[in-house]
Amino acid sequence: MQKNFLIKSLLCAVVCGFMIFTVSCGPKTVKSTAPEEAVEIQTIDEDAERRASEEELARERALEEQLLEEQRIVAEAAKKEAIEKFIAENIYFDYNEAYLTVDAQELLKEKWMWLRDNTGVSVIIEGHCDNRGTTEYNLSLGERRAESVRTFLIDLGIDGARLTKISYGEEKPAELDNTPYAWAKNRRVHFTIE
Amino acid sequence: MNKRIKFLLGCVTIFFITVFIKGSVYAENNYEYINISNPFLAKIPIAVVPFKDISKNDKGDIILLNNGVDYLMQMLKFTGYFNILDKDAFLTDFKNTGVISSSINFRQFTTVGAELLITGGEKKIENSKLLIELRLFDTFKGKMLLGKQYEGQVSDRERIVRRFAGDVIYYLTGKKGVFETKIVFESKISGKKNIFICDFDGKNPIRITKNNAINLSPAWSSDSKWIAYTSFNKGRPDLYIRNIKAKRGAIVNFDGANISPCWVPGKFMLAASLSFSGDSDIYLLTGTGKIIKKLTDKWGIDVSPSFSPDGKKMAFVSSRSGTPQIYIKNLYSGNVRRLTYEGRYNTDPSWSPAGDKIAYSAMVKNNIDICTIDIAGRNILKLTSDTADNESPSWSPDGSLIVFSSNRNGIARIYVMTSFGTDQRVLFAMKGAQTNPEWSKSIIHY
Repeated sequence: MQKNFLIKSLLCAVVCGFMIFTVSCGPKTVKSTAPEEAVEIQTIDEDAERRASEEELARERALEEQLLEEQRIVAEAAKKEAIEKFIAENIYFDYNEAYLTVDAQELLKEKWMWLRDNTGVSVIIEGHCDNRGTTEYNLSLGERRAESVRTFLIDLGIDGARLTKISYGEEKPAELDNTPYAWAKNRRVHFTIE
Repeated sequence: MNKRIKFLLGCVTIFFITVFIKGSVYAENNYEYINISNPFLAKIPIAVVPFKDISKNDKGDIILLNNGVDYLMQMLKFTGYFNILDKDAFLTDFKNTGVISSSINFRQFTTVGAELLITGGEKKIENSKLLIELRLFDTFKGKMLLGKQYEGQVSDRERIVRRFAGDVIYYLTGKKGVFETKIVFESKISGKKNIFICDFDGKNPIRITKNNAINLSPAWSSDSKWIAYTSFNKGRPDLYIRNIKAKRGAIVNFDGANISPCWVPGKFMLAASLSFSGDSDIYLLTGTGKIIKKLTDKWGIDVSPSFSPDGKKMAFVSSRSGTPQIYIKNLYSGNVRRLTYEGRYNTDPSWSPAGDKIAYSAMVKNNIDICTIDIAGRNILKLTSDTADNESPSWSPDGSLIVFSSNRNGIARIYVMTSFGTDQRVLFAMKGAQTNPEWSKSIIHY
């Protein structure tokens, strides 16, 4: 009886083993095609990925360039603004005087910094006066105002060859009125870029 | 301008033919008619009757067209010496008044207050020639003081009348008057100053500088043939020395400002303020623009030289004391003395032709006025007084008048007044602002 049970068990195991074998062999043929397809898909993905990453890189580079360009524009604008500020801000003087007031000296230090940072630039220092007094005296006074400014900048280390002075006396007023306000606005040194 | 000069040169056909009653009228002149101390205070009443056609006789018809009488009256009035009587107020019947004393009823003129009387007669001779007789009478004495006969082309009528007006002034004052002088000035054209020259009365302005730059502070040479001025024509203030007639001259273009010219009397030399050394000083230059020597050397602004008539002294403006003041330098001894002490802004000296005074601009309470001061620094006389700026005085060559600029009516214009400040009037109206006038130093025949 025991011998019969053993045979039955063995037989059963063989059948199972066969079955297992069959089962494991069956899917094997199916599977064999599937990975081949998957490989193919994988190859396609790699190419796209490469392109995608290249595009990404290009985008990043473009963005970077754009940022640089923006920065450049900002810098350019700042530079332009600095030039405009340099030209627009006049040095003002007291009546019939050519000495530099404290305010004038502060402003001239800013101008000095700009001149120091822009070594290639030469400027014209224009001396102007209000319309009171004589044409001739005012031409000399304008000359003297331009000279005060030029000397100040040279003392701070700017090369005199970059600083040309010219007096217009009362001939080129900034304000045409004949009022104390206009007089004050006209007693000035004005910078232009050569 | 050249055309005009040629034209004028072409008609130097005025011949002085006769002086009635010999030339002795000049010899006995004692200038009793004009008060020397202030000739403009009591003006001499003078009557000028319309000129007559004397082709047939002494009492011909009044010349209706081109009668020179209005021009003569304008010129006499300009001097400031006369009170020109309104011809409508005369009680005289012009028809029966001749041009010589025997046919004039002097009482008719003395009753309206005329102390002097001028008559004129003209007749045509040959083709286009004209003979004009002009006479000056003392109405109270019933005596002719001056008689002149001029011959010229018909087109010379104005010149003849002008010559006679000059002769009248010469008879009465011993000086040649201003009728053949000119004035140089600046006038703005689209915001930029250009140099112009006009006749003594503001007529016939001619533009001298024809660039688009700033041109300023013109100065006559003493023979009136040259002018010097500063121009920005090449971008910087350079000094231009220029012959008015011929196209020649020189440019003084040192570094800095080359400005403020004034000619030395009787010489082809001028002084100007140059700043090439870094300090503005006055230098003596040749008429060709070469530096002869430095005339001032103090640190500070030195500008606006003006020479005494003998050329031995020079007045100038300096800021050496802190404010602009007038100084006088003796060019022989080198001594410099300060002339003005009153006020904080005294500029623009102009030495009088008589040598005794200096006219200048003084800032008084924010306004600029014209003053005169004697050479010793005393007797300051303020000649203008209004709420505007009166600047740049310049004497007429006979010293009787002063030309200046003023913005009393808004825009700056050229004005004339007598040397005592009376009879102030605008000289002419022209577009733009006019400034910095200078009277020619001599009679100009062109």
